[in-house]
Amino acid sequence: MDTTSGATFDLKRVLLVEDSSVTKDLVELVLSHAGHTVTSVETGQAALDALFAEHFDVVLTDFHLPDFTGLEVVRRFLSERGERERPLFVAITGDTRGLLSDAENCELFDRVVPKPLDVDLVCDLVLEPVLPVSKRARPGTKRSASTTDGLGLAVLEWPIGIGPAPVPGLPGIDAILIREARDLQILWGINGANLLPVLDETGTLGASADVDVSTLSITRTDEVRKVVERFHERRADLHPDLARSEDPADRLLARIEITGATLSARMSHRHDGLVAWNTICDPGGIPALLTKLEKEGLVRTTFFERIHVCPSCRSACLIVREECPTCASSQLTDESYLHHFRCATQAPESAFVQGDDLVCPKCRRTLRHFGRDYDRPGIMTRCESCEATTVEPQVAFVCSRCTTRTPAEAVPTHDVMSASLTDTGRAYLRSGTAFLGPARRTLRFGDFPLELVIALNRAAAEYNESRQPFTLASIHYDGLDAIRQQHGALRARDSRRLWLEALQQTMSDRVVVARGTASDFVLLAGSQLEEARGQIDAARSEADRTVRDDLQATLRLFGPEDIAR
Amino acid sequence: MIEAYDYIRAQTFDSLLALFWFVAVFEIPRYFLLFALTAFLPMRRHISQPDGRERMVSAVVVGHSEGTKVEKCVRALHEQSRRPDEIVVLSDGSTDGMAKRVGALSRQGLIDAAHATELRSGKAAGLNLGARIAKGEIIIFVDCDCTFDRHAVRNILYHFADPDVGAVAGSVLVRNETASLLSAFQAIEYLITISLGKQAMDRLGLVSCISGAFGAYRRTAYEQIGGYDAEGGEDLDLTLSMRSAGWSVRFADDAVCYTDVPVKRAALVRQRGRWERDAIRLRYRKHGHLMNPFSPRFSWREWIHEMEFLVFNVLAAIALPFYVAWLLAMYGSFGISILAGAQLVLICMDMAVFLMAVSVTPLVRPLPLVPYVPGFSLYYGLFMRWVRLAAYAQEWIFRASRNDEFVPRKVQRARAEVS
Repeated sequence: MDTTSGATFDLKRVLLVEDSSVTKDLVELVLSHAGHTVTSVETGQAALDALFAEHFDVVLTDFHLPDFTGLEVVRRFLSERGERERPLFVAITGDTRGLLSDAENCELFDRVVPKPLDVDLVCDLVLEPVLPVSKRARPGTKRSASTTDGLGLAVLEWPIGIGPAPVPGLPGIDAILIREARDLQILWGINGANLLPVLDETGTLGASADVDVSTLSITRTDEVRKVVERFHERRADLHPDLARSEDPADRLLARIEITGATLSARMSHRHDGLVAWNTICDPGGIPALLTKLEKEGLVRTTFFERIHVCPSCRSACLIVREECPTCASSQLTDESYLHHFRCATQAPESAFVQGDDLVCPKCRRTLRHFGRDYDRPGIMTRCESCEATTVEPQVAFVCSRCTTRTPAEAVPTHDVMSASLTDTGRAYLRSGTAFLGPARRTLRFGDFPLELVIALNRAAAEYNESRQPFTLASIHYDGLDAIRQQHGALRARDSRRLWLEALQQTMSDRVVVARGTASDFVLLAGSQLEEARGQIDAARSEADRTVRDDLQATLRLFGPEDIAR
Repeated sequence: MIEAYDYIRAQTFDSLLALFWFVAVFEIPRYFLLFALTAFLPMRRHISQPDGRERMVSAVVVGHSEGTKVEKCVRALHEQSRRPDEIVVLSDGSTDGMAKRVGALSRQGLIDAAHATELRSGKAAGLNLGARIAKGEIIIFVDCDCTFDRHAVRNILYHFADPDVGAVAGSVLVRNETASLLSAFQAIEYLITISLGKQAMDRLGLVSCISGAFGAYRRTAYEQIGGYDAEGGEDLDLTLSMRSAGWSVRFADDAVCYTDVPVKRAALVRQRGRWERDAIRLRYRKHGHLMNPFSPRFSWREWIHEMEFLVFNVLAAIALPFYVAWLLAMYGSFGISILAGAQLVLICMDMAVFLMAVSVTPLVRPLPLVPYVPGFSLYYGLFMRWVRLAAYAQEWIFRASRNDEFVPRKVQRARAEVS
């Protein structure tokens, strides 16, 4: 594993409280490989003993321990030692929702990490500095009830008041609840926020949020559940590279996929650009990101609107006005020309008006008969500020933000686009960064599921000791996209799962089958490459027969030599 | 021909006069007057001064459906050595997108005020509106189809140094002189009657008509006489009114503007018919008092001016058919030869006057016109007289100027109700 970079100069003392040996082995392996000192215990009491005996920087504790809960460990420690010298308490749990729904948990734990464990995340967490007490949320602050309380969802409330700080990637969180629409760009900046449904409790975000929960009725709660479910499903389809990516364009692309494949622009008076998209990502940054994504062929854009912007501050909040060409005042009035036929006097109406009468300013005759004495050949515009008259006022734009005035001809415009994913974009989201580069479809350790890493470690150790061979097969499903398009993501996933299960059943017990994101894997310990190929091919045709959809699975086999390389 | 020559040789001065009385009465004095006035009267120099930069000068351009020409005209004004301080452009009920062009020019900053009416009000009303919008102390009226010599505006302004001067006429030369035979003749005609003729009249202080193509007015004078009046011939009308009011009217021979004249005969006949009808109406109906010795505004100078027009234009046109008829009756086919002989004399005089006109007219290109001079007397002495005669007859008998297409019907109706 090469995920522990930078660990050599910032080493931590970690206490791992975990009764499951698989998790324990793995975390121990990864953290000590990164240079941290790891002490493992299995029970709550043992953890407390260790904590009182020596100092730890980080405590990773399973929530459910054989004797008491992880929460109890934290509580007892704090009652004994107080807040000073407090290590970073990280809860590991399979039930994020249950844990987060208890207010006390929220106050005591610094972070909550869901099971199954993401090794990269654990490494990142361990390296995080311990916050000084004052920066933590003051205990005892009353949290007001939220509209989603009864839904049993693990919700990140924004802005973050009390409770554990968000873990990068926001693992285990189902949705983001906006309680106050401020600092949304900070929220968007949190890794993982782009992949979660945004529930708007303020009712002001409009389509930028995914569900408006400001008035939550029974039908709306169903809607919330459905949206959360849908996001969850789509999130599972993302390649981990992209789910975790920090690149703004990647994050936006992932968000487009997760919301349902379109990023639609709309008018919005809440932003300086007067447009917003169906995301909380800063609308000011979106055009540049879309241009980049379109250039790479990942999205297809469609024209939404052409917007005029202030040339000095780029705001689109412009006041359009007709103004006097002479003095630029907008205090204009329309006035008729009057033409007195008989003496050829043609002048603005005001020159003729005397009380109720129209009197020719030149010959002093009273104009009585419209069409015979006089007519109105046209309309002119008069400036009330400078008295100039003109046939055509000029149009100018005044920026309501910086008051810059720009003539209409000189105002820059930019086109606002909506975007939808292309097939390339979808494939990129499923296959990760490897899809685009020359490294496409090669073996990447980062893609391996945990159980495979563990099994592969074991096999590699055996190979090193006794030259016991093993074969790793990676399975890629070329037909998966077609099935997804035809029958939906759910069916595609089911087919893939079924196929893999069928494969597993026809093979011997010594085989480890692991489900990955873009690819699945089979590890045959003790088999030579050629021997394994026969076995797998037989199993594969059996699996193909079992599954109705044509997954077009392609298998690539690797021996110990390939992997060592 | 030889016969005719011999016959003429054999005549005494008295009998020659009896034979060529028409020429003696209507042609020779005309040439002589032009010659004598220009050659022997001193030129009235304008007071030498800079180019009137201390005065605000407005240029007013009014056009009806001249969208294709207006930009060129405006740009020509910007090319002036003494640029007008303000350019006002009016589209008078145009139907060709001139209003749009004018708006565009305004946005480009080429003009200071742009106005457009939906309905056509007529040239006079347009010019009056333009003058009202303009803020200058001197207002220069310009036709849309005119272009200018670089110093035209500067030179026309010189004359306003004299506080008695109410208006100054610019010199109008023909731009398309070689477009057709008729346009060449018109070029010669403009040279002789406008350039030379007005210079002669300027010496007498009797400049007859400030062409609508290019003329400058002092605002106080313009406002005193109430600006243009309705109906056609508004330029002549304004000049006559101005002189009646006691203002001096001058001619700036070096303020040159160029215009296109009609190329086809029909267009020329229409244009001249209109001018002559308007002249008759204005001189003998509207401004008849100028010839009435008992009118309070009577002046001998004006009387001479009116007589000049009456004799050389009106009477000559009326007398010509009688002369030809008399000649043919007296001498039969021999009369043709006599006419030809008379023509020879006229050609010689034409050439002399042409050369004189060329010598006193700045900026003219005379050479292309020389081949056409021999034919000029036929054009001016014969063809134009017939056109005039027809116009005079129409106006006297039918008051045809009322139906002038240049004046909108609504205005004509209003005027008819007055008279």
